[in-house]
Amino acid sequence: MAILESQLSQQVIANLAADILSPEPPVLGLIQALQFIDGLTPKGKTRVTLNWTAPTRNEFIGGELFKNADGTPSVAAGSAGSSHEAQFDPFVGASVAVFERTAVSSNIKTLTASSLHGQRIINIGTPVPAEIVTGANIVIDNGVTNKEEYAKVKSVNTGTGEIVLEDGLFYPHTAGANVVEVTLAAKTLTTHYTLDNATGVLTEVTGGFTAGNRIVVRYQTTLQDLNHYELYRVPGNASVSVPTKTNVLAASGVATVNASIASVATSFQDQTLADTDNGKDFTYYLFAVDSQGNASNLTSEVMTANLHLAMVETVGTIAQNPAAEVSTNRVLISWDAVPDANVNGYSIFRAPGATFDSAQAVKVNSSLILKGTGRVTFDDSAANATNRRPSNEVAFPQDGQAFTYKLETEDTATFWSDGTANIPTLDTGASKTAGVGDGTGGR
Amino acid sequence: MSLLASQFSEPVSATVRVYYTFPSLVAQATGGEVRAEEVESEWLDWVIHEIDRRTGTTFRALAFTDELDGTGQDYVFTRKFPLIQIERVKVDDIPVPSSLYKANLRTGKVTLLQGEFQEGIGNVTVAGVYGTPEVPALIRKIATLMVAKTALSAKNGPLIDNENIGDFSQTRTFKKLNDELDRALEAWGKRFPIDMV
Repeated sequence: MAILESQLSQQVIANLAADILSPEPPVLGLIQALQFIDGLTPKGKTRVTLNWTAPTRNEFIGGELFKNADGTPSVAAGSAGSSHEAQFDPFVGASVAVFERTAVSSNIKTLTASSLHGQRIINIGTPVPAEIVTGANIVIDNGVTNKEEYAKVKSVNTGTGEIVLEDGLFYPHTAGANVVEVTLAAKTLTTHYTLDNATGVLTEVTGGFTAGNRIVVRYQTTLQDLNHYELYRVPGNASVSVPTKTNVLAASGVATVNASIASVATSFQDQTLADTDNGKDFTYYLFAVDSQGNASNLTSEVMTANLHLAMVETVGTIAQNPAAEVSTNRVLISWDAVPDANVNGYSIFRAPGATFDSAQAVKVNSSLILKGTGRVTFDDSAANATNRRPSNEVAFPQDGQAFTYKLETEDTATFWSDGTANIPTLDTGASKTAGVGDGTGGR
Repeated sequence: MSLLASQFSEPVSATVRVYYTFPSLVAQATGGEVRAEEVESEWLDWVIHEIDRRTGTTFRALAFTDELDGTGQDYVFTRKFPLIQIERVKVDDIPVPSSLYKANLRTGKVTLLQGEFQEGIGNVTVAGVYGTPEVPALIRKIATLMVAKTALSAKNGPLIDNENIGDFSQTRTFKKLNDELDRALEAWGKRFPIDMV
């Protein structure tokens, strides 16, 4: 017995599309700041905990042209059963929108500068064609193999020729690439086509499309290869105006908090801040990275609308070297001034007796004790008519009484990303939720 | 925007000390012969106790707890007075709400608004703060003169009233100081607890 074999069949070429799809960025939620103290850090240092929601999808592909294996357009056949396959799958069903290109403007413009993957803002120079308005659709690199893609216009600056797109671009384009307004007719699932989400294959339904027309799809795919997160910290309030990973890493003073946070994590505490960082502004940037090394990109061209960044302020330095001087019916408390830039001043709390019982402690100052320099003093007596609460609220010290005082360093105009939670009244720290800030800074 | 606060600093404790007089006053009373820095803090303490014993009261704010005998009347007198505040009143260890009694802080008389203090030995407990929130001027004068005497005595020799060195002769006496002190003490008088009268 021997094996009888035929000759080999004709070859078939299968190209796997390179995975350049980035995960959606993680969405930062509750941000908490606690002050850590030990023997080595009596001045305290801030530990910031970030919590986030993990992405489950890849970024949007704003306008993909269905193509054949050789890169030529896979145009509509106009007959039932004709199928077209997208580059990536599986689709997230609810994210899919299908369009048929029915017309192209004859008014051709070109990019004034090259654009990159994920870029949301392009420039076509002036004058801007009248048909390119908010809500219009455009094609870039029309007819260029493996470059042709579609996008929806979010806004237009007719004075500069700048166009903001709804979604980031998929392909990089060179300066001079053509830009043309197109008419895209929305198509309806089942009525015009059917869709296999698992394979990304669209099948025409009778009468669904006109033969020869291009078919365009906007979609997201399920994120299946989330590998890790990367967390970076940059001094200042959102000083990276276009917070892509590339730009963040190029920012002045950027610190890598952790570039290999496990993909299963949804929380991380930054313990790398030093006491010299107290009372300063920082912005955290969190990126999701897939197994191909694609880092999450922007979700908006508006910097503060990208919820993978959070602006925080570290807690002020704990006042050091408090001392007391006593005289008749009077206690004079003094301490070293805190030099932190963001600190506005201090509050002083008093408890009866020789040990500090926070349950009995009362705030003695009526207004914030100013930050000062050198040694700062507070007069707890009837002689202080400036910033001490009146005696009917907090009794003046009387001879023979013992008190214990503690100080709190405060910033009364804290700037974080919007949202506030769990602000303590007397002790230990602060926490806030991230959200959309105005990016202007707190002071 | 909201408040961001640090943790508390290390605690610092302070006991407000009463002094019936101050080194600067003593220095003035001696015409500068005794400098303020030469006045020992112990002398300031001594004079407090001396005056308290002599006057039968105190000019500090001190906590007190008196166990008094109920007499069947609706009032009792604290042994310490004047009072600054009453913190609690108990009868047979049962607290009396503050709404059910009133107190004359000047005399230390505590009066029930309903009923009476049942007769008993030490069955009424009154706790609070007595003394004066500020040292009276006359007491401050007495204290100053007494410390001045101590300071001058320490400086010039405690037991020498007359001194002769060769042709040099001088007599040191506290007569004027003593006269001044006597007048002040006489003006103040002496108080006794109400239940000793």
